[in-house]
Amino acid sequence: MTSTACFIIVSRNDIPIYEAEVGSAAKREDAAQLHQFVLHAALDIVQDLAWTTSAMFLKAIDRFNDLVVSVYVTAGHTRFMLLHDSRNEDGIKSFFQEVHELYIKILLNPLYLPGSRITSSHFDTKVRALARKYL
Amino acid sequence: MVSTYCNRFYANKPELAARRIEAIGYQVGHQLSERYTMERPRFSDHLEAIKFICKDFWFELFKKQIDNLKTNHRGTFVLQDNRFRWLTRMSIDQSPENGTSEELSIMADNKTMQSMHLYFPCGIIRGALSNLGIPCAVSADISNLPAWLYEEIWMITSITPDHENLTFSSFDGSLVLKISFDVFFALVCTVIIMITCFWKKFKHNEQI
Repeated sequence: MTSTACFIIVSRNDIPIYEAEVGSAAKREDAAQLHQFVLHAALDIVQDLAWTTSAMFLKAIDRFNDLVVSVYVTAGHTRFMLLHDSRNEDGIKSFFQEVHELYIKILLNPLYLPGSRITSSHFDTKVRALARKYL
Repeated sequence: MVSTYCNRFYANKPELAARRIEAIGYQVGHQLSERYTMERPRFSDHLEAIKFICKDFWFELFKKQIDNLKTNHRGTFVLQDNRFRWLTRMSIDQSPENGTSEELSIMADNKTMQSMHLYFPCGIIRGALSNLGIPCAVSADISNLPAWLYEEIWMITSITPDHENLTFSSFDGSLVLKISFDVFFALVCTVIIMITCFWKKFKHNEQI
């Protein structure tokens, strides 16, 4: 089952602090930039929607061709955004929750400056493993 | 920790020590607030965030809730804790009736030391609120025996970054206290409390 998926984490100051292509399809060169472009364009929509609801998981908020953007917002206004083509909402919700836990563990590191890029390879491996499991 | 910063690192510059301690508290508050808001839905309102600080956040840190919350509906909140855990073990001596000048200076010194200990919880609250989207400045005051902590939060409604002036509150009808304390005991208590707090929550999260 091949699927395209691009996952980024954007901090409260609209700075992307982590991005990864987690789909299992073959990666094309232009696809990576296109995915990032679509995700960044969806940030405005997220901004508006985030204030209307107090839930964390905002379901599909934007569409592009047949790709859908889903977003999960934390209390500190850090946004986890996923661009995907699958329809498995529960899986995506669990994926976001697990990534949230990982993110909190990174945040608790006293040497980590909140808002800076996440460069831990351990985090990267875990996120990809979770993506394979849930998406 | 407070005594280390006061006495060793910035021995002659209490303002720098205070800012450093408060900055540490800011980061701790930032991290803790992110952690404790994980399960619950997000806040739609400043008041909701403050109430969260009063109830859940304070309960996680000190095993009790804030006793009293007041507001002037124009951006200022006053949180009162009648039995602040980190200061209950500080010994307090009554000041003499007629103080000579050198005793007054000792009392001023002690009041500075006591206010040093308040900067860390101030920083924690400021960090937590900043993470929830509310820039603010926090000041603290002890107005009564035994070590009742009285805190005041100023909300800056414009989007200027918060500033570090820790002006003390207007409750200056408080008693002048001559405070002497056991430094090592307070330090060890603080460290143990923070470590158990973190460890218990971490174990709990990992088991989930």
